[in-house]
Amino acid sequence: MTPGYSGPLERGGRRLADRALAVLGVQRTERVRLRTPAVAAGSCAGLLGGLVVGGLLVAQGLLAAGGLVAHVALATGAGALFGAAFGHRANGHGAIVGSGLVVGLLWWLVRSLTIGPLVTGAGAAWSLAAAGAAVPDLVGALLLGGALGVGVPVLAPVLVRAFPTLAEERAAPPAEPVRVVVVGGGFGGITTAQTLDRVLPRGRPVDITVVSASNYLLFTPMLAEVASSALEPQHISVPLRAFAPGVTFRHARVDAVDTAAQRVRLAAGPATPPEDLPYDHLVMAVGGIPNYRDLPGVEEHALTLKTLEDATGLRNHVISQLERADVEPDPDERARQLTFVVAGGGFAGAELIAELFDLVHGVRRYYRGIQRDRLRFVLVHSQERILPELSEGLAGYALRKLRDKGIEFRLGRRVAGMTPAEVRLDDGTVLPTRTMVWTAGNQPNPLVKTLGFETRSGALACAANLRVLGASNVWALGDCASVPDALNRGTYHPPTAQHALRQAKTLARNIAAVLDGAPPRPFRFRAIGMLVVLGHQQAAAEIRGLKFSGLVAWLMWRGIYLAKLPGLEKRIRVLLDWGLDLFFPRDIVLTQVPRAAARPELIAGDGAIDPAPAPDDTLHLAWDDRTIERIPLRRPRPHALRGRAPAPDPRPPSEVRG
Amino acid sequence: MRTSRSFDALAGALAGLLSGILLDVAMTRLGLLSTIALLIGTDDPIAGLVVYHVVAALFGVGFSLLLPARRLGGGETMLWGLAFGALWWLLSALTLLPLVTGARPDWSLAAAQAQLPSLISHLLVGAVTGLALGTALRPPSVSRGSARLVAGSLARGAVAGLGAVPALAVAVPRWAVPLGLLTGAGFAVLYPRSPDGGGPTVVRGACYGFLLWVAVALTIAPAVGGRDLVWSAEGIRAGFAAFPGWVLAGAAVALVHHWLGAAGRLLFADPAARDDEDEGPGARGLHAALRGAAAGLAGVVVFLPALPVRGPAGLLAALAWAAAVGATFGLGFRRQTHDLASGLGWGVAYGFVWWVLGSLTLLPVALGGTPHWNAPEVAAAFPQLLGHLAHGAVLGAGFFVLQARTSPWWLTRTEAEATRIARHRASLQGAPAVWVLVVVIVLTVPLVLAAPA
Repeated sequence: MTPGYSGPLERGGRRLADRALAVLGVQRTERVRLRTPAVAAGSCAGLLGGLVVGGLLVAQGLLAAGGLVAHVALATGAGALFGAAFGHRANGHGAIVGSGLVVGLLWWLVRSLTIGPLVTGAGAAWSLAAAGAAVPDLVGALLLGGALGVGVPVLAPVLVRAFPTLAEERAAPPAEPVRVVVVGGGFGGITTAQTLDRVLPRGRPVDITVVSASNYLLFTPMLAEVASSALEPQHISVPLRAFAPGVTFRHARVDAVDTAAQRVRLAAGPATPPEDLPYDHLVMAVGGIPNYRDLPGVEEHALTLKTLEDATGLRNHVISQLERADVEPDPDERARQLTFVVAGGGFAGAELIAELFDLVHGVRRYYRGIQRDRLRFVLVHSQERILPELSEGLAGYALRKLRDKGIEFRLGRRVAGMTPAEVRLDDGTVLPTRTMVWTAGNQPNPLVKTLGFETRSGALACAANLRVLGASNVWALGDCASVPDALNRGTYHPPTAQHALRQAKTLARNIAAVLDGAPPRPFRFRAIGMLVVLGHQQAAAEIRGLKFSGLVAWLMWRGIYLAKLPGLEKRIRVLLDWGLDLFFPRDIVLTQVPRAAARPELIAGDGAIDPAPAPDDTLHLAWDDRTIERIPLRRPRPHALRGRAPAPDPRPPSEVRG
Repeated sequence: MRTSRSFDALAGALAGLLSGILLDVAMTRLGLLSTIALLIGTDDPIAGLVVYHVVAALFGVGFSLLLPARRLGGGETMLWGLAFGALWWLLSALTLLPLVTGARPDWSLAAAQAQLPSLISHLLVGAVTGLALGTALRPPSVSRGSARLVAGSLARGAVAGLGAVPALAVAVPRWAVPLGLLTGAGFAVLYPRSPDGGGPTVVRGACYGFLLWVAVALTIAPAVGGRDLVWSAEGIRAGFAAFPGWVLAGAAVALVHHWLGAAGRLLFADPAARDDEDEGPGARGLHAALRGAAAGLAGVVVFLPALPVRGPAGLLAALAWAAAVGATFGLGFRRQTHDLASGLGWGVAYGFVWWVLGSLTLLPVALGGTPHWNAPEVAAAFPQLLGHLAHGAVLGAGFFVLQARTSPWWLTRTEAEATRIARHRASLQGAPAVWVLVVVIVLTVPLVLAAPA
């Protein structure tokens, strides 16, 4: 699909011309169809108009007869430029006549009142007296401009009819559009598409399509605040269609990629069959998924924080636990309900445990049956210090601040397994809890392994220019790509948002370069810094080696992330949310029955946990081990209930328990 | 098609004839009929009257056949009529008429000043012809008689007319309120639906104000008062102080009328009726304002020869002013510039409006004085007019270039999208008339104010 240019000089020249024409909003094909006849017509109109106006000037004694040739030549050139700039049917005849007069006025201003006097050494003559003296020039300029305005649209079709080759000879055959498919609508994917749309000349036949299972761009740094009820979910998510209006969007899940046939297989939707999407260049930006390390019960019972649904589900779950604990007569069960565990002491885990702490303590006043000292927050981390990405001093600061709040830390410990009622650690410790959020590991999306290219730690092995090794037209970035660091040989870029964002811009420019026949460039980037928020008005930040903490860092966090939030509207909404949070308590409205609040267990007749469906394709849902509901199953999947909340029972809990 | 062209020609002839009849008195009082009779080799006023009516009818026919689009509505067709009249004057009065009568064409300032009465008559003939033709060919949606639409527009026009009173209070102190209300009502009738975009509406309003200045201040008021028509250069110069007031009054009426309409649509219109409109100023407004500000700052370079205040303070003030003008241009013309022609056209037109508003009004007031609206003061501010025009050209072209790079709304990928923006393109059909009219207004300024050598 790449145009076959013959050499760097010609290639450079064409790129320059394309860019210049793109700046004027002109497509290459349009240039050939419209501008060439327009230039010819403009030249003719300029020649004729110049002759008439020049002749009238000569007749009035305002122009020497010898100057007529120069005048006509100038008018002809001006006509050609006029035709090139305005075309001949972009706006209809009326528009171009109007433009002719405007250009005539400006031409008078430039030539008669500015350049002319400057050439004679008199300086720009913008006075009324000079303008009055130059009125004949103005009349002539307006008449010439009007002649061009009338002449170009009238003469161009005549010339095309008389000389058909004028429009056809240079006409390039309409090129097939180059199809670029971006799989993944996260920051990496959508920024790639958006940048590509911007750097490619407008009108160039390139079709950029983004395929994503969600139709919004999620601003993940603020996801924990959604979980803590500080922000509204929709305020940190931007519709992809609005974010990149020049890009085609497909709301679909990708089932498979056939790199040999260059097709992406879209999964069937509720009302649509599976569909193949052909591509010429493929960008894999599918991100990562939680890695539960095959720990027993963790995938089934732990909550995650990757999507908006996760965040609202977690918020509902926590509030639901408080609702239950408020009236729970059994002290052991109440302890489970009031214990909140986060696995993983990285950025996500540290921020989340602090936000959960703020949420629970912020709404505790509504639950009069819950005493403060019964609340328990535990962070489990496999290393001896949290936040390994930060310097030791700042990580220690964060640990101190979180401990001061009352958060427990189990450092150097790993989660070994989980049941609906407890979390077991690798040292045998048991944490009775109904809530554990898993942030302790991610892995690249398994889809990348199906492409058949080399992988490193599950991610597509890429060259420094972000092209997948072994492929000429497959690119990858973000969490699903393993990209060598061009500045530090032997190391790879970490899967962070700031890297993905920069990779997206480099990748887009590299695809544009390849389309132009130029070599792609390696991705070079040094991390700018790290920011972690530690709950109410506390944060730690390290930017270019400078360390900040406390209120200053917290203000920096809010300022920087607010600026990075896409879209003015969302920024204003988030700012309003933050402002309202100062004056009003957090909301405890339960918007859905959380899946984990009354987590149904899949049980067989003897009460043992059995993820397989019953022979009659019926799920037996046990509510608090007493009441059993039977729900017909359509698809016998072990985790059919994950992500789906059971329909709320209109009866109060006591009735349900019966 | 043939039938509609014939109907257009007939309607145009009648509209032209109507305009000729309406202007009979003025032409007679000014003694212009004898001049017109020269076309057939006599100086008999009666023969001139016949020729004048024939020419007016032919003018109407030509105009109706050359009108770029039918069913534009009264306001837009009237603007095209004005532009057509001005173009015809430029071609005929200064060039063709002398050639036909065997004289040498004369484009000098003195000759052009001598033809000012002719310019005014051409403008009025064009306006009346356009208005009559626009009424005859008005769009079906309006002709179906949406009384509610017109009533709502009149209500907005009344409020908008009150907004024009401050400007008219300087131009016509005793009659400011009634004339303001009439101005508002007139605009409301011409544009029952406000034109798209705040910026183009303001420029249209300024042109409307210019027409009212010609019609009311130069024609109707003297005629009603039993005085001679002030169509000569000296007469116009003597009463030139009313010119900025009328232009600003028209712009204010248009802007307030537009804002009220937009607010009404925002608050009360069914979403389905607004689904092809823009996303709203909050969605892309900031980007448009920033692009406009950048283009405005780039335009400062060409404004330098006309800086009213020299030195660093003047430069800083000019930079701030340029950024502000650019930002308002970005907001007002966001969906209105889709090629270099429209960028230049609107930029120059907006530059003219800012000359009247900024250099003649706001700047003198900000410096502690009164608006510079009388002839000598306007003459002194003439270099700034040129500066504003040059700045507007760079601003408009620069804004278009920036927009083309980042969000070219006019390049669509789907049919649905193309249909949605077609309305914006359609609204540009009246735009070239506005640009022509602004050029003619600019031309009028030196013709009126400059002293012949």
